[in-house]
Amino acid sequence: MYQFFTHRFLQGVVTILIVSVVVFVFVHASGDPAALMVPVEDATPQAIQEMRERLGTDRPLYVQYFSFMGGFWRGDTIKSFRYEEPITDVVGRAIIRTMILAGGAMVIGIVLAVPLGTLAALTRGSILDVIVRIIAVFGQSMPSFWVAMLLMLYISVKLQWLPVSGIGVKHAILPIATLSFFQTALLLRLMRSEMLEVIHTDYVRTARSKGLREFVVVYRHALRNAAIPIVTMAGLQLSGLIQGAVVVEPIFAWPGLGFVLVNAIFLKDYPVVVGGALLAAVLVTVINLLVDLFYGYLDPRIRVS
Amino acid sequence: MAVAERESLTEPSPKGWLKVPRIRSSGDVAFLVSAGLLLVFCFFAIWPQALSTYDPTINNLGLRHKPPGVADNKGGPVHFLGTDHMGRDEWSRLVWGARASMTVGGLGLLLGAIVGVSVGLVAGFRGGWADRIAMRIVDIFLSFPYILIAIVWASLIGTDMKSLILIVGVRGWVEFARITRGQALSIREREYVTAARALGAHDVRIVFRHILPNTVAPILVVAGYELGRLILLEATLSFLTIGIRPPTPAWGSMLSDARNYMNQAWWTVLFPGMFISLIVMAGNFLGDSLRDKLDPTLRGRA
Repeated sequence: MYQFFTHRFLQGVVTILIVSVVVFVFVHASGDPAALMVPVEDATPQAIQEMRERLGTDRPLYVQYFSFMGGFWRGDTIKSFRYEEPITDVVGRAIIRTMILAGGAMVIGIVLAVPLGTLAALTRGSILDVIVRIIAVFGQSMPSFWVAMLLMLYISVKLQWLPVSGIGVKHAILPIATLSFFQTALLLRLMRSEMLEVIHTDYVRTARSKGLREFVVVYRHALRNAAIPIVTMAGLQLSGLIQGAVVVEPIFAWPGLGFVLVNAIFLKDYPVVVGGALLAAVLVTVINLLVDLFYGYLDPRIRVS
Repeated sequence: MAVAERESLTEPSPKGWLKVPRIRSSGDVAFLVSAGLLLVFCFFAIWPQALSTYDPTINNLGLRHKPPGVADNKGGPVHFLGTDHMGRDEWSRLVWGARASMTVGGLGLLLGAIVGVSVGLVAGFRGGWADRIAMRIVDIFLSFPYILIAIVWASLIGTDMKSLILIVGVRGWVEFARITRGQALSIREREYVTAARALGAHDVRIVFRHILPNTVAPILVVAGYELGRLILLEATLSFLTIGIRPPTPAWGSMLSDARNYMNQAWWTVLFPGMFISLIVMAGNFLGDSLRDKLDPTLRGRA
């Protein structure tokens, strides 16, 4: 288990490094921010050059990379080009807001999907099963931005129950609803198919033939095994949820990571883009490690191998 | 709950190049409907002129945001799905939009499949360091929100079709590599591979005659799911205005336009989203029904 964990940890570090290089190179290849930041009327070549020196983008790319990574590692305050604020503040705030959405959607997804998926699998072909499958199919196929727009159109514009955009408790409901719809659909589908697979296995048949009550069979023998892929998927889905948030947040003007990153990309605010992507990678890696630990707890075979 | 009845426990024969699963039961509606739907969208993409009633890029400012069923003010056919903020015919734009989605999604899928299957075969069959490196890259792809890379990339290289296909293809190879590698890993330990090797078969022959044919079915399943997912990625980028550029009609950018006029023209919000959902749904159903066909433990329970 120790070895397994160390291995996963190193892998996470490599992921973070690769993501940082790729994003850094892409972002820098996308154009000169200095030219954009100098007001058009006094954009002389000299003024632009001065701006480059001020931003530090006149240095070679690898120097910029190492000074950025060094600063990031030491926790130095690297300033956003735009906000004149340390990126850790800008991105940190945004990440917390995104985690509110992602966490809410994750909890709702698991709470709904595990019991409903199990029931659907146990009553295969019933009305419940059909409904569950329809939800799963819709959640797998509808684009998140479309669902967000439909919710907004109906609940905010037509019924006027909830605000259209902004930040606050009421404002969080629609984005969380959008994301949890997809989370629920995905986990439902997985839970149902895993459960179907597990209840057809020999050990479940054995448990039944021992005369155990159906509840014990399902809860003790089937659910635990069916839950392993769910835990993995829920963990992996964190990256999926961040992905969903990136697209959904700008629609609701919810100032999370997605909103800040997409804006920073269009404004060519390099430190925020790279710092944001990097922090997202760190976050995802940490969560994945936690999932691995939990995975080891659920499935003792992992611990020994 | 009765004990699962297994109809057949016999191993599928390892021979045959394209072991496409046959349609077993007449009740397999999902398969037929989804395959049919994909064919319809292919038809839209190849020959949009046949079904569209207007040029999708022609403005008609006298007819902005008219609801479905409005008569044309110049004596043309009825705009039966209404018009958008430039007075363009919604139905015609939707039909032409299939071209963008199918081109980017389909070619991206093809690119992803070729790269992914090759990587998966090498990784699974060779094992060792090739396998380790390939799987590490796969893990990285799976653990990081690719949309961030895609957004930076799409806004950087510009957004012509070629770079969009590349962006989408780079997302697409991962699942193919994973499934092919897994299959190759288990198949290479089978007796018939050992037998082929004992008979002096070369590695290349083993891979192409024994391993690849046995991975075709799972690859088809993945292709079903991935088609939908890649089309969603294209639509998302177009929605963020960094995908297909106007005036070329694309479902994602139609929704992006609609966003600004949401409370005036609900039909511009509803229909493009429905088209995206339909095509993604068709891909998922295709994957699902293929999967059900291929899994003997679930077979025969309708």
